[in-house]
Amino acid sequence: MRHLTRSTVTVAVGVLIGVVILVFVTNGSGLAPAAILVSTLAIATPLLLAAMGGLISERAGVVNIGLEGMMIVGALAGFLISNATGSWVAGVAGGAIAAGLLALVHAFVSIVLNADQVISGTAVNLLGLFGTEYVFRTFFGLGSELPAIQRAPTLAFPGLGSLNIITIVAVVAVPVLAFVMFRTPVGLRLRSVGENPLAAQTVAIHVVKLRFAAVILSGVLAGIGGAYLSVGSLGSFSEGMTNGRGFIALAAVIVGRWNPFGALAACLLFAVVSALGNGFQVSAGISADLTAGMPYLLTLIAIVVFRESASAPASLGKPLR
Amino acid sequence: MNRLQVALRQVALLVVALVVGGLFIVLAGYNPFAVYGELLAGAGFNLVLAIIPGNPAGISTNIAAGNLFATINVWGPLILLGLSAALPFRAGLFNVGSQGQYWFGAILGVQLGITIGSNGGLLAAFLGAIVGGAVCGAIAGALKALRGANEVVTTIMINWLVVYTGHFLYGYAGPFANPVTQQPVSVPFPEGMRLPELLKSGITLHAGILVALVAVAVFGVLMSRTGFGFSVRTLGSNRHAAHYAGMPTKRLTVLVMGIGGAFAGLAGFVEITGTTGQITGSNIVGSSSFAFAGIAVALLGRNSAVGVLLAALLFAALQSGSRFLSGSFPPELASSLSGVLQAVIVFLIGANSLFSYLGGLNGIAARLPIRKTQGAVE
Amino acid sequence: MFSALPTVPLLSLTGITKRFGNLVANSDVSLDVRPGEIHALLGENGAGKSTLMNIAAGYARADEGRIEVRGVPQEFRLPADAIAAGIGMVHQHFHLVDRLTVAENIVLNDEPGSAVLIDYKAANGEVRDLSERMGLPVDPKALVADISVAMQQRVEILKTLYRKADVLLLDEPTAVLAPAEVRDLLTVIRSLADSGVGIVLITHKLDEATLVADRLSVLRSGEIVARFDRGDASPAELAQEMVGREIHTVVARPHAVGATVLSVTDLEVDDSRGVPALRGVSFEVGESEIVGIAGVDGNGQAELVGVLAGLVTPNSGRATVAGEPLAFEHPRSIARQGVAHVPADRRKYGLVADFTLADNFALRGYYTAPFSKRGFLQRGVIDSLCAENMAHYGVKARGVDALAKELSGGNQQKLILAREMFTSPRLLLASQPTRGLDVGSIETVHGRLLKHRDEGCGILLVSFELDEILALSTRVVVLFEGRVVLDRPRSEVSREILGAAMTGAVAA
Repeated sequence: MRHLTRSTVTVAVGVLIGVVILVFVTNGSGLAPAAILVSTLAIATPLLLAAMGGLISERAGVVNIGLEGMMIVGALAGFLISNATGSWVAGVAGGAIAAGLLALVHAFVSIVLNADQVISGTAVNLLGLFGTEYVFRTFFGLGSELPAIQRAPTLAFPGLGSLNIITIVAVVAVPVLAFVMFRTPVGLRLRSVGENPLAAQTVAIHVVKLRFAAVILSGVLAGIGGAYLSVGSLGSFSEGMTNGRGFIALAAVIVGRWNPFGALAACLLFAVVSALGNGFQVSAGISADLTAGMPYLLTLIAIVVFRESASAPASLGKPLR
Repeated sequence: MNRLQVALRQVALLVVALVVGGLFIVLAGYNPFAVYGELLAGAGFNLVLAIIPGNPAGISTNIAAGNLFATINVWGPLILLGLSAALPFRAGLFNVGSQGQYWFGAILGVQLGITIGSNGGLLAAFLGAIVGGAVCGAIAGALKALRGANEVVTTIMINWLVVYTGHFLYGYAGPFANPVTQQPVSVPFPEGMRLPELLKSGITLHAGILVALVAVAVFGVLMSRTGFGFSVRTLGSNRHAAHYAGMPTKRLTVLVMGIGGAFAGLAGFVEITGTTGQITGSNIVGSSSFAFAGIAVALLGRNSAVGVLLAALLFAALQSGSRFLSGSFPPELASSLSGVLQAVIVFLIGANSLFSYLGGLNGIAARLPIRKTQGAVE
Repeated sequence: MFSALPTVPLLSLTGITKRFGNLVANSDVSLDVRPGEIHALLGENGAGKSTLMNIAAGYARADEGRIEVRGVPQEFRLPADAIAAGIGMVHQHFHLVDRLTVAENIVLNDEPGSAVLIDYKAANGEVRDLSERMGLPVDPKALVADISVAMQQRVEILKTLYRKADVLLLDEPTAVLAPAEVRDLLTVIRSLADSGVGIVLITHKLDEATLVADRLSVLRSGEIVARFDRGDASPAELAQEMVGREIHTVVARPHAVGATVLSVTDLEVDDSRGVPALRGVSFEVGESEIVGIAGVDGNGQAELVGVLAGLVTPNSGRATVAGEPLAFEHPRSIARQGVAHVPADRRKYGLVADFTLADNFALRGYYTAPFSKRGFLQRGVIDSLCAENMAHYGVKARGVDALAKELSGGNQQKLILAREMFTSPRLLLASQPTRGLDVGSIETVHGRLLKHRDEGCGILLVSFELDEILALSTRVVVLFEGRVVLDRPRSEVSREILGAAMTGAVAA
């Protein structure tokens, strides 16, 4: 099981780096490690969910650069439905379904029509960005007061702080996905479809069906990630509120070598830097713009350092014909 | 497929997109025909009607001409943004970094121009914008060539970095913010140094469109007549063959992204020195559509010089027309609508087999991922 | 003509017709296979063998005709349907997932264990048992990417047997194997048949077919033109039926070899995974000499040509062309040194499918005179030079504006050859120059190679076809596991000697 040993190393390295940064930086700066940890997990939540989604889709061989668009759709649908029903559960479910539907379009265009998957993903992002803007403005116009919605509840962890229930879902999703991917029949089939669809086909695996399922599931997870932003943490919606998180999640998949634990390590690394940045912004008065830019810079560095390697699924992005 | 068929297909695709956009308008509770009509009028295209003897539609030629000038002023930057995506596309590269390249070019150009002043300031701004955009694009190209970094991810990350840096530079008390007014904007680009005026009818038509037209001509000649264009096309069609043939594929990757970035930087130059006159922090933040607009223009125009011209005109009309709506449709919806239309168009282009698909649903079996039967070929 | 056996055929195809546009790939073809029988399907490239087998295995659907399994009519819409009916196909290009283990590949989609957990212990055990029982030993835990081609072929066969196939369709199974491996495979096939499996063996190698088959059918231009029982036909008769006319075998006339053109010394190269592919290779090619590189695929041939063409970076070693050091890693400089290259994968490397023939002709020299002046392409010059050379090399196309993808393989290859020889190179690297071509094109290409040789060009010929090596070469070099194990004049080698050397049985 060489993938497990390698991923364990990745996680260990990631966590170690995180801890070192944490101890080194918080020491004497007046930032509480527990608060930074909670804040890291909160920031990592939408990234993790979207990254797990992206990982499933890409493992099945379909590039998903549309995570960003799926997230923002999830965020808006979550907000609107939560507002209409008064239930955060309905909101999150609505966000998941709406983003899943958008993913369905991506799946149809890329799998059945054999479109260029990057172009289709770009269209998903465009539709997400402008479609949510259009719908949001239809409901609320520009700059009007937004209604308060029910937020997803938090659970208190003694000695640490309180974590949003969606955060817990996101963290649990990682080992679950790893188990499914590497231990179950459906995971083996999914990987074979991403590596060599013809080989999968020769043993009667329904490539199209499996790829559809993977892409839709990736949308659902990205949608929950988006809904976390609106329904989970903010209790509100603003245009473009995903701020490139979908792309950072995609980068986490690449940097994490298409392994759930690797992607987890990458997400945590991006998140801890953001959390520290936020902390410094308050404690040291550094410009919000510069700290906000940190995760993007880090992503850029990470993607250059951990060069896109041979671990990418062999048939990633290749149309079936 | 010959050129006419290609053109017809692009038109058909456009019609489908407009129908989908119409659905959005209906869902928001408005009349799509009225809205599209007003968009065209707002873009100044009703000027054609004024030519009809007697002007039966009662068009105000002054207003219409002014609106048309506004559209053309938008057209120029859109052409340039389209080129910034089209050239990399021809080499098989996906430049989603037009936004960062635009602002990095604009910032470098404007600050350089202001520093140098009336003696050559405009030229300095022009060159600064080219260099700024080119550097921004070439970085992504170099990361791709040397480290295999996915250019979609790197260009988007660079966009955000430029956006936050720009917002910082022109933020409250930012280093480049106007020290006199204390507002989060740049010092105004001096009036005497702006792009020359061509015509005026309420709204001024500036020389930005000429810059764009020259750029399109350069692009067209480069692609179809030069060895450089030949190698770019080879790289885009079959990078293995490009390598085999001894083309400098890594250098080409950097060069192509750099030139694409330069086009985007020029778009920023034209917009700031021609239309807005200054850089505003909030404009930088609210510009995420720039990167995608270029891609939509390039795809609809099939990455050809003429195609980019026409596609950019369409999007310019939608964008500009939405600013002069006479009241039946909220302008903030109109601006999102043009984005939605872009999205639909990109989807349809991605799915260019859609038309044949609809024409042969019973052929699904043939579309299944089965290896093409051999033996018949050869 | 048939000896009437009492058994119902396991698989029978009746009146199969398949068209691709105007092209008729199979016309009213009937074929059956009985339990315990090996039925050889012979035919040259493009005769329609693979199409017929794809129909039998559910990869394609016939326009007309019937498929019956044990007398029951079948309708195969997907490969899954054929698998369920007990038909297993082993394609010429394997369909394996490189990054999964042997066992994972074999049990895929039929995994032992529960629906939520794969029982890896059982999977490995079952695969080991099956492989030993069938005489096809494999290591269940090895990654497919790490095992040899012959092993991968075993995995493919085991995949079908694991799914209880009792009809095995083998598409050119010996094409990728060394002579010794071929013998092993034929033995296994025989014992499988003896255990009751029906086997269709697709091949264009007559000796194998006559050696092992119980019945033979010959397919030519989509039609069955002859059927024989074991021992009824000689290889010569079969060859005549396959091609439909007398075959002219080119025989390289003796000739004088000139000064050294290419000299390779102690070349060491890693493959794309970092595994040593060439371990100190040295040899020479002279003017007017064809040096044939023989060997089983994957013994360093691709890396050798890659290094000499500037596409692969060597670890160490030297190479000179006409005494001048070869400009490693710079394909364009190498071309300027007078080295031309006909790549093995012409569709991936040799051509840009969506470009016109004229653009493809200019692919190498586009940046310089006469194709271009001061950076600007000279369209008129390119078009006329292309037309002239196409006529010279007999490329059939509607014009220089035709797209490369519209051409047949033979015409594509002739276009590449015309382009590569345009600059009158002193050395030609010809890698698999006739793979997948029809007999007519093969003759043309062979004739051209000999003509260029006579004109003084040194040629490095890499081929997996021993016949081609033997027919054309002045000298033969055998590569085995990245080393030169044999380097002798053509007159001092025989098929048997080469065969032994290819499996490493002979030292240089």
